[in-house]
Amino acid sequence: MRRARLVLAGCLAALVAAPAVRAQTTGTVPVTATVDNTALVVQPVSNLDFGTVTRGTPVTVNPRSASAAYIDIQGAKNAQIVVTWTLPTTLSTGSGGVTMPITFANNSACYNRNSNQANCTRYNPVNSQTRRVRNQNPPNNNIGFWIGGTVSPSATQKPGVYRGTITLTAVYTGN
Amino acid sequence: MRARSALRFGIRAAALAAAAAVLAPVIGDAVLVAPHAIFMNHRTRTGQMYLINTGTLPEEVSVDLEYGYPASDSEGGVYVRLVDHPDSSQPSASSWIRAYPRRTVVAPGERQLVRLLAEPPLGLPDGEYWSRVIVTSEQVRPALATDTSVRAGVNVQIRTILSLQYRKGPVTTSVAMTEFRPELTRDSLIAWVELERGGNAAYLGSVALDVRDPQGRALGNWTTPIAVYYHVRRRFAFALDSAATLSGPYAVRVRVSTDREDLAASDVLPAPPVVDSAVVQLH
Repeated sequence: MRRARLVLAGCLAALVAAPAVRAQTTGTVPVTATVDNTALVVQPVSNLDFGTVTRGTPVTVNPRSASAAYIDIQGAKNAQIVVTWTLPTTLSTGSGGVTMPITFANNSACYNRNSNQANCTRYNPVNSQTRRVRNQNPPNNNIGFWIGGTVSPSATQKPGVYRGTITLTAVYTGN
Repeated sequence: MRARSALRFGIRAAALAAAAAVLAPVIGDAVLVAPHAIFMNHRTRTGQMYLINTGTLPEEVSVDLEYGYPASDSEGGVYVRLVDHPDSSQPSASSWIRAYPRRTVVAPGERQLVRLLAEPPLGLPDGEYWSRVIVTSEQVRPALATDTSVRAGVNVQIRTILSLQYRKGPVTTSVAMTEFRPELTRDSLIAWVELERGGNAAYLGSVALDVRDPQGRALGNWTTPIAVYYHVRRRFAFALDSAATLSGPYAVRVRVSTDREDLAASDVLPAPPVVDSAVVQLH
């Protein structure tokens, strides 16, 4: 993951390096430590995965576990972002298919400015979070969000792959 | 000027594309959206942004526009107020700016240019008009084979919301500070700052605060971006670099200016800085 962020930082640095490239005649890309301030990357690193579940037995994924969905947000240093989740109430095997309930507790989501999942601050995903990306140079100009939840298959749940969609809305406020 | 701007954007796009090609093998799923703030004007009536799929699966992307602006809540926090159907008194550009394409599938490693074209109504008064650009992306996932087991999972769809400013004719901005109320504890500074915008365009700038103890030593200074579209009442809270140990008095200074690190200087409207100060005792 760190390698991914480093490469992403290279991409972001390239954005800022671009005006300098224009002034070059050799065509080489100058190395720059300038922080990119023109892009916003909201990266779903992993989806929420309950795996194979047992009929009649609810399964809970903790936001601090490896099965939680993880979204990493990178942007301008100290940029303020409002993050809101839109949550499903059921998973489905497809359009018009069989459904399975999914619920979220008041501590099913968490965030951490160091992308440190083990120490993330838990909160109710029903509530928006207004947070800032870290005031650091790439690749540390980021903030991580995670979400878990609980699925409750019935005792007679039909076989199949049950899927749903969580929407994460990241609003750049300009503040 | 227009050619230079186009060249700059073209070079940036090339840099992005090259970087995205490098990114593809190592990053799972992501759509990079650039720039994060879009500025258009009545002369060219066009804007553009890039979507780059840095992941390994195709991404379905849609681009919508909706009127909105940042505002403050009762606790001094910020949220973005989105308005589905703004009335005619609102400076909304969302109904007359279109994105092309509005929907697309961006293949892994590919970049997609999205053009924004304005068709403002005839007789549009001079001023600044606002919208938010909503980029929604979700992976195109292959169907999974099923067996007799029950499996469950949730995909994550991403909505990224950016700002858009459309300027026509002379535009000006300013800000007036109607409240500055700092409170100091041993470890932190809390300051309420209320700002009222002037002119006919949003104020994009920053707020700088600093604290000095009775002996003139700096206990901390902080700078944070601010956007005032109409009126905001913000609560800033900062941890002091060094603890306040004397009873006081302490000098707290605030400076609101149009300094912005994250925006091109040509996009930030100039305005005179506003400065205030207060003397506080330790709480």
